[in-house]
Amino acid sequence: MPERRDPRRVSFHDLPGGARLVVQPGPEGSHRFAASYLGPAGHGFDPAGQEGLAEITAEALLAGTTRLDRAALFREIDRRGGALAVSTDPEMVHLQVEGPADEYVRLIGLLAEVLNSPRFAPHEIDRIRRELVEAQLRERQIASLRAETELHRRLFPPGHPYRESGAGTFRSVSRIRPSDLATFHRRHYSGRGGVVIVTHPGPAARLVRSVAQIMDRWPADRPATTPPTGGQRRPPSRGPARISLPGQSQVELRIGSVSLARHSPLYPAAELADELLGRRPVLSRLFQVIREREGLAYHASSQLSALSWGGYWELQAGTSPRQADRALRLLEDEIERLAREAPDAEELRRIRESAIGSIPLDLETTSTAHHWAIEIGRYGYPESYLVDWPERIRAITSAELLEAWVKGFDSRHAVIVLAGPISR
Amino acid sequence: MGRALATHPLVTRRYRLANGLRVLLAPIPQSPTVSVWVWYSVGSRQEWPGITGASHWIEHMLFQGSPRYAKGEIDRAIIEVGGTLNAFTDSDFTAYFSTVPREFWAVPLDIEADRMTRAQLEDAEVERERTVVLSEREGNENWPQFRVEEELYQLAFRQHPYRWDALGRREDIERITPAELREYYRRYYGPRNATLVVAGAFDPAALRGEIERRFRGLPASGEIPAPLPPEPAARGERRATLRGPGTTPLLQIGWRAPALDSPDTPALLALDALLGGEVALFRGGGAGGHRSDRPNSRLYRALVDSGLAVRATSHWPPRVDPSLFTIQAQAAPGVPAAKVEEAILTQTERLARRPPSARELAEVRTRARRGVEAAYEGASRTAFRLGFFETLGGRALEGTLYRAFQRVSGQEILEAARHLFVAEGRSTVIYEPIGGAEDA
Repeated sequence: MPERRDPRRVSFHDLPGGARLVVQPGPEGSHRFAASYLGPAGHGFDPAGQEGLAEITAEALLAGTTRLDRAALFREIDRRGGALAVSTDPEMVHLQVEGPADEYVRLIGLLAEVLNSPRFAPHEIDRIRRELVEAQLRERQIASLRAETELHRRLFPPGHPYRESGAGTFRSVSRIRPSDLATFHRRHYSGRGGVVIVTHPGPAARLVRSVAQIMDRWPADRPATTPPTGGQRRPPSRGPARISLPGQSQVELRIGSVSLARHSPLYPAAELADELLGRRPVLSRLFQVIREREGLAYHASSQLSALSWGGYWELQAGTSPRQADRALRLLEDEIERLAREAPDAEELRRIRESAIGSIPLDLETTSTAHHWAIEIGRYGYPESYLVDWPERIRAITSAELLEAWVKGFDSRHAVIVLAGPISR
Repeated sequence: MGRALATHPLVTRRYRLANGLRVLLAPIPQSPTVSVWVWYSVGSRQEWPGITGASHWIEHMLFQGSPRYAKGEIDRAIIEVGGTLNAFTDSDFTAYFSTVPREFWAVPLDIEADRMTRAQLEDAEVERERTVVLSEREGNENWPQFRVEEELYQLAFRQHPYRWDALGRREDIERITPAELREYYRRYYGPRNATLVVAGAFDPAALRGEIERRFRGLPASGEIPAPLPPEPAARGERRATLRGPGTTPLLQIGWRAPALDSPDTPALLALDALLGGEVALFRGGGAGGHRSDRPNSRLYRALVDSGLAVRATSHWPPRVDPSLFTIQAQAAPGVPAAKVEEAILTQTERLARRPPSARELAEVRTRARRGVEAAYEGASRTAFRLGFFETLGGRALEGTLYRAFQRVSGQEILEAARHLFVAEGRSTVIYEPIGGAEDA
């Protein structure tokens, strides 16, 4: 019987060392592959006083292995038509390699080498430190980044893993030594708690064998990492924080609330509520009111970030200083409107069908299809998650959407930030 | 020729309607989508002082109403079926695109036919969009990189429209009248000046009939842009310093560089690849957009590894008329701009003194070959690339450039560097950051 080649249906397997393997068939006709490692090494795990350590460790993985220095590593990746990238969020590190399908063994081999045998050369750590210090300055000076940073600091108490951006402070990154990276790496880059996700057009059974052989070097005795505990207190309601950044042209507005975690039963309805409010701009209420009706802003959107340990939901817009207060009032109006006025049948149908209809677009290329497999692997969704997704979305009622919004966005404790060329 | 150039949609159909519309069809039977693009050979290059930003403003207005699609209905028609749509404006072209699940291929075709010559551009909508366009510009102004680049082109060009950014000058956006915008639209937007590209899962014969039905009745309008007089030669180095909020000194240097149809183009692509790491036209995911750091590039090694900068890239945009080859670098904390500038010039002088090694050349050739292999995955990327090359230089441009790039010699690169990296053709903008953020 021929193997099914539906990118919507993934399969789960176990790897030596305790990591989970998610295999996804690539889009039909594609000759590319993508592979990711997700592990519990995000900046929420930064030790106190060493903020920035997770970020430096992750970046340093790309700076060479014990066998290959950085130049040799990237020469090898280039030669095979690959691309290697790394990113972190509060919870996870994400390393991804992409390339031609027929190079997957070599390129996933390089991914495994980068993960297991980092070099942590002092001069590379110095370089990354300089980059982080510049990033810290950017977070202070550029309105959109400053608004984002301030929103999180006002939403989450000190010590909470979602409070900081991960860039650390000048003092904290100055303190970090190569031995700190090695210790962090030993503790957090383990097989347990990690997920390897591969999207490839080839047969799954062969892939599983190959990846298991490549990824066989994780020490099996490393303990699974436990999540950090941060303060869970919600902030008291306060007036808007107005941050004056003279010389900037535009004011960036943010309104945010602590929100649902990914595994909340309300999450699917909350996701749909986010679509309605502003996730994909064009049809959303924020875009329609703030840009299309009032002409106040080029961008007006919302984003629900529902992660494993918790979540936050934010609304954002960028506008001129003279229109900032009006735009802010309209954002607040939409927050209230969604709490009292559920979408009518037509609005709900439109948002649902738009969300469902976008799946074929996500399956157009290997990297966009891979994004779905990452979601499934990261949050432990079932193998048929994407196949079942349309049915789940169609089952959401208007009342459930309203409930998800009311419980997912606590407007009484929402935080408001304006950053840009405004007076204090 | 690279493998991908032999495997990209081979059965591409190319033809022209009686009204001048060029059509490119790239069937990809297994694709879950259809991607529809219209490329107009009009951008900020066709503008003049007083009406700068008109092409970009028109780009916004083409979503605001046409006879069969009232305001908001274009967005609704595409998004409701799960599609995505957008548009972008460059100096030499404007492109509109929609990608939809394959069974909805007719929706974007209807939209493009409806707005090609009959967009309404009503006064009230033009006025309302004015503040949106201004907001887009202000959002960009928040970033020092935008300010520096805008200043650089203004410094380097005194007459040619490359002098202004596609977003337009603020004073023009505030002044342009709805009547002027309508006149600009009527003049440049029409089948004669457009290329329709469709890639994805469709029956080419059937689609051809559907395209005929929708587009053949449109008038043969759309003025083909006339050649522009060249920018007079520069007679010396030009410099400017900006100050504003930012992190560390930011520096951009631009050298007068030839147009895309120059015989030096393959060597310029190689210079860009050696310095910045990317072979701009031959990279996966499209020929435009921003690049990521390439840690083996000459600029990265000389500036970032040495501790002088935190970012350093080069860029040679493929343009219809002679433009600029630029290098941009963000100084590391505590490093003055002068040191960064000196290090950049050392690298350009080195390229003008000694040809690249055979190994370095082989590496950039491999990078180009691998990039092209990735560039045609999916209907959207395929339609983008076909339209991009067709609009800038015709059907054969990509293959011709690719073959020439793979053959370019070290000596040719050396000669190109000697012509390019001269002080007389150089403009430099330095952005000095000032602090001043105060919390409320």
